[in-house]
Amino acid sequence: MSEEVLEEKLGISGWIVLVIGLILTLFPVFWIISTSIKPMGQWLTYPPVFIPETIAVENYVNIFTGAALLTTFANVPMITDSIVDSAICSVFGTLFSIAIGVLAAFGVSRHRLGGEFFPVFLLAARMAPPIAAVIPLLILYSVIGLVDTYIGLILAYACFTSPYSTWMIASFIDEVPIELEQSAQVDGLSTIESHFKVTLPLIKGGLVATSLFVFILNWSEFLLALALTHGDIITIPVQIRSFTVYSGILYGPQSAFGVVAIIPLIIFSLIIQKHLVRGLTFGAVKR
Amino acid sequence: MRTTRNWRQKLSDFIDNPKNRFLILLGPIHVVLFLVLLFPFLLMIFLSLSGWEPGKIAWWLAQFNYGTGFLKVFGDARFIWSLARTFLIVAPAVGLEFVFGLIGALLFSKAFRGKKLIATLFLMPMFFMPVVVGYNFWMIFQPRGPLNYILSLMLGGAVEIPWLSERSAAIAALIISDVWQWTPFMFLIMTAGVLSLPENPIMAAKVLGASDWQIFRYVKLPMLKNIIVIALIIRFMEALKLFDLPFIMTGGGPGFHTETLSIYAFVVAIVSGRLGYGSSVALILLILFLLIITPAIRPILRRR
Repeated sequence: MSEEVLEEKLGISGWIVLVIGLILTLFPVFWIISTSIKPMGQWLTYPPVFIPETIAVENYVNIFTGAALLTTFANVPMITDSIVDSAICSVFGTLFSIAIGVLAAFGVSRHRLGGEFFPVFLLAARMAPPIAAVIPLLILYSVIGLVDTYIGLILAYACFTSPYSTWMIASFIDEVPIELEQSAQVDGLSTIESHFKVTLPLIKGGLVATSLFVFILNWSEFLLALALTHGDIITIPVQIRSFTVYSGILYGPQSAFGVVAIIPLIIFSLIIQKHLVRGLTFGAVKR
Repeated sequence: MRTTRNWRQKLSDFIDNPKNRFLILLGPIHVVLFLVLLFPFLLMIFLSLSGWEPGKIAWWLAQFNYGTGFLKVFGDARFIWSLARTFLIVAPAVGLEFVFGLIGALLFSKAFRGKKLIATLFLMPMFFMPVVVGYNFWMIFQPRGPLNYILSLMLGGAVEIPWLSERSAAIAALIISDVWQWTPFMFLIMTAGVLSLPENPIMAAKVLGASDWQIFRYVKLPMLKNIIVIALIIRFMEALKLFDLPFIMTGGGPGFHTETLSIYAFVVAIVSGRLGYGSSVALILLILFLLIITPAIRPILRRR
């Protein structure tokens, strides 16, 4: 049945609802961008400035150079360290999570390893509150010296996202007919070889989508980073918070930092848009 | 040369042996889960049975308290209130997200221009870092910030709602921020559901003269039931962990009036360093969540 025949046009009332929804969705986006380009004198005025007349590029420049603002008592904190730390922890946390996720996904999807229990355990591990795991993890890390280390944070990120990667990759593997692997096995490949030489190349797109999805989770993660680091390592979310705590009110640079922090997330989300539903529902809903 | 081949042969035999499959495929994830979740979990049980706090004595020397730590948690009004408050914030937030998301999905089942672009714009909030969302709304909710200004223009008088420093206003502010960030999640999943609806029953109802409302209530809604349940469960479980937004926007204040379960546990255990008592709190939280999770994940598993 062709869609054009069935699809109804959106009426006037529908458009009104749509436009109201768009305004409510976009106003906060507009606000942080507009604040990020406001010169200092306009941060706190009332009535608030909505569209600044001059664009203050210095907000963006200062967070990368750490220049002192003459009129305030504090330097603008530099954000380069936190970008590097966030990138290291997110990238390696993601790679690690995907690596153990791929293996586990083959086990769950192709061999039903772990039976009924393992998938349930994974889901439960994901849904449990991270704070309940962080408290004992902090104790363990302080005993074995992993507090404030890359390895500690990477390990934690990989663990907390491994349920997502396993479930999402398993749902991609499910879509590859097992007959392909079986015919390769007739040609002499072992079972494990057939997983990696036949199925894996076919789900490349799915692996990329899963990686970006997991990266988004790691990049935005706040609670783990806050609890497991004390300053040697500082991730972006932790530093965004510390702006307000330690530097007084720096609306412009802090907003600029927020915008910079979000750019990769927006780009990645656009790339994986069509796989989002699957990721967010642990593969329970496919589109 | 021979030893290399021998070694290789052994390795590939090891990999080929079906007996080793669990070890190879599920081994790595188990090591990580054990190290990061299970071992600390056992440690937590031990610590929650002792009143250990760092600095005084080594943790393995702490005295057992025979579970009185748990009694203390249940006797702590701050804990009980944070439990109630979490539901007070999460229930209306998830409810509103669902309603708005469903309305959006139904609108998107119609044809209109610029659909793809508008959908992308609608999804944007979901990818904002929660910390940035918190900071942004903290600016917006300032007493002399943009929201109060817009409200004064609309209502024609000076509006100075102390959004973040008055109890119920702060709760409302948190609900609004959560709804802003997570309505896209509901919208996305509901859209997937609405798109997967079969055309024939809807056409049939239309031919029989059903109104739009009747088609929605008696044809579409029953067919969407499963996906609605899954979306609500996932969103609800995520929302119960609420931490970033209140931590950034109000820090749990004014007083403890926006302190959620996660913030309470974080402040008690990590900020004030009472790890023994914090372990009791964490364990109770975990049991509480497991009680909710166990029935909740059944519908998700059934879909696979």
